[in-house]
Amino acid sequence: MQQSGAQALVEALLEQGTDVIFGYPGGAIMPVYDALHGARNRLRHVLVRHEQGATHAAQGYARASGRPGVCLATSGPGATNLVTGLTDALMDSTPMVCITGQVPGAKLGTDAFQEADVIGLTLAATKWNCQVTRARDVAPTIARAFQVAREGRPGPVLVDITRDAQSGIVDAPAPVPAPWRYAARHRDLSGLARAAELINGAERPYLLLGHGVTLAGAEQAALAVAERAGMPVAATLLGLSAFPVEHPQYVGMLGMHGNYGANLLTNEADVILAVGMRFDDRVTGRLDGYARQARIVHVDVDPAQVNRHVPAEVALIADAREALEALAPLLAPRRHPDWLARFREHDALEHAAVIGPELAGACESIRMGEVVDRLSCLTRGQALLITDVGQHQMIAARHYRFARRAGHITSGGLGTMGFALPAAIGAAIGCAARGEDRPVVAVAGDGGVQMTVQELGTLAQEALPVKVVVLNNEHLGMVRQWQELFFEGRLSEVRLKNPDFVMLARGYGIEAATVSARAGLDAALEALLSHPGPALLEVRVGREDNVFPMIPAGATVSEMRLS
Amino acid sequence: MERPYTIHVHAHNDHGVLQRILLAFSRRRLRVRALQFLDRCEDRPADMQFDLDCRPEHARDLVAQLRAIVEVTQVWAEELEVQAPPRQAVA
Repeated sequence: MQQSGAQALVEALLEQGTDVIFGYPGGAIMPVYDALHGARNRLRHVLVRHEQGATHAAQGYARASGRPGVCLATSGPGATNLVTGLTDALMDSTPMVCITGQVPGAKLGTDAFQEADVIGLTLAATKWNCQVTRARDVAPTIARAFQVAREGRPGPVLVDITRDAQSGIVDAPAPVPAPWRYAARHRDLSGLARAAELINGAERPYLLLGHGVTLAGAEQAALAVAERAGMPVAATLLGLSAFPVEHPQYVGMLGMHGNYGANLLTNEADVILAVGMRFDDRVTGRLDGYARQARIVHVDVDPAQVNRHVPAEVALIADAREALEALAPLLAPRRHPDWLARFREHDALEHAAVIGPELAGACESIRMGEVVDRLSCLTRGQALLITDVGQHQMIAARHYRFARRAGHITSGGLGTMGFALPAAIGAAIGCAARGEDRPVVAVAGDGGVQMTVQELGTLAQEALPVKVVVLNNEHLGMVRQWQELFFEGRLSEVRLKNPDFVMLARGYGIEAATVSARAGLDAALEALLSHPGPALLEVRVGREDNVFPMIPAGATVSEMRLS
Repeated sequence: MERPYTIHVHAHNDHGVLQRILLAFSRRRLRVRALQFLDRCEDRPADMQFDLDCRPEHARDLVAQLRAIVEVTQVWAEELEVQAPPRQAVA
């Protein structure tokens, strides 16, 4: 059967199980949009308001559903607007397939209208990219794109399709290339016995869980390893919700604004089992003062991450679930009550100095921690929480008590302000695709939400039950905090004159409210959560609150400060 | 301390692959001193050799980053012997 390259693209996407595309049409992608019109009953398209929104929505979808997110954009500015989301997805190992239109093949390299060298521009922002100039190559390239996006360490790929390849007729598609066995090529579990020996012989073992645990669906395997070995367990920012927060062995979050004991005691552990995390600089602080005493077992699907920052005595190169399931039976049942008690001592210090005062309700204005704490109570830790970047992100990570797996989506590696709102749109669709019934709540600051605030239009048009909480402190709070602490209080360009967020949301047809008094906070949150459709709540919080504990930039984890 | 290396890469020579490989050098601010690129047969990966001076840990990381490139099939670093310059004949 003859079909156009654009039709072949749509069929190839359906073949891969795609059920939704986030995109924005334009000149060089019009044949694809015409083909989508013909397939509108089989393939949902979400019309975003900016291509960056499409990438974040695709990321949210991917992380909520476990399937690659798909986005579609035109050539030139449409494609360049994808770069932030692609880079974000690359840093955070999010499977995503981006398809861009391109000028006709004959005009490539001529500076034609809306031409940009998308392959060159996205080389550093993708796991793989490819330009298609013949209609017959469209379907096999899409098959390969999905394979690359999913396999090994997941990541974003981009397929750039010239306009003539979209409109060209395919008699017989080129054969699908043999799969690249990327993951199998690098798999190495030969160190399992040595890893078990180290953990079994440890007096102060410590299990660190990262995003790879969630990506691999390895939560149960991690729980089994932790309980058998009796190890304390901490999570990175992206590893949050991979381990039950209420579990007696859970000791908190790692990183610059993580928990006090979880960070400090890294430097007392004798064996560290690090799973699906890459020892990034937010976790390690200054490297020459990080876990020098520890013997490290590093489990990662990406061999490029092993021995990159922290030397591993044993490297297990595999999907986290496979590695942990293989490791668990080799571990001796152990308990380390004295070692766990050390973490609890530090918890008490942190509670007295930071958490207690934060939640005491003693100051006049509402504090961000109180909002997240109440949100956590009202949703019983069951929500899918999507956060933006800044102070509120750290506060949300610290105070939300994740009770359900895959409950947290944020921009970790790249730290992209503007991520939360569009990601929540995709996450809501991803949750529905997975058949999960859970509240989807975006928490953003007043700065970040305005970077992609136009996606309120997408939210309204799709009528998704996303709840948006804007923690408004009228500042770029994290920058203000750093200026206060490290630049002698010289506040430079951090004060924001904000719009009326309630009017703004209502202008898009979204239910909205504001609260500034503690007495009204619970009622406002309950009203937000019980509203059947999209809704926004602005919470006016203290303007000059800081986030603690904190590992100052350039300091070691041992230098974490409580105030 | 920097040492002389040849990085050997075998990779499918698809559109943009060479740029992607060079990007791995560029991101670590490594200066390639010589490059040999041979793609004589479509049925097998292109053979590339990059000469550079770098620290051993950078060479290790470079190999790891190159190995993660989808089109790369083989990569290894060869540390070169440093030979003393021949003695000048004394007249």
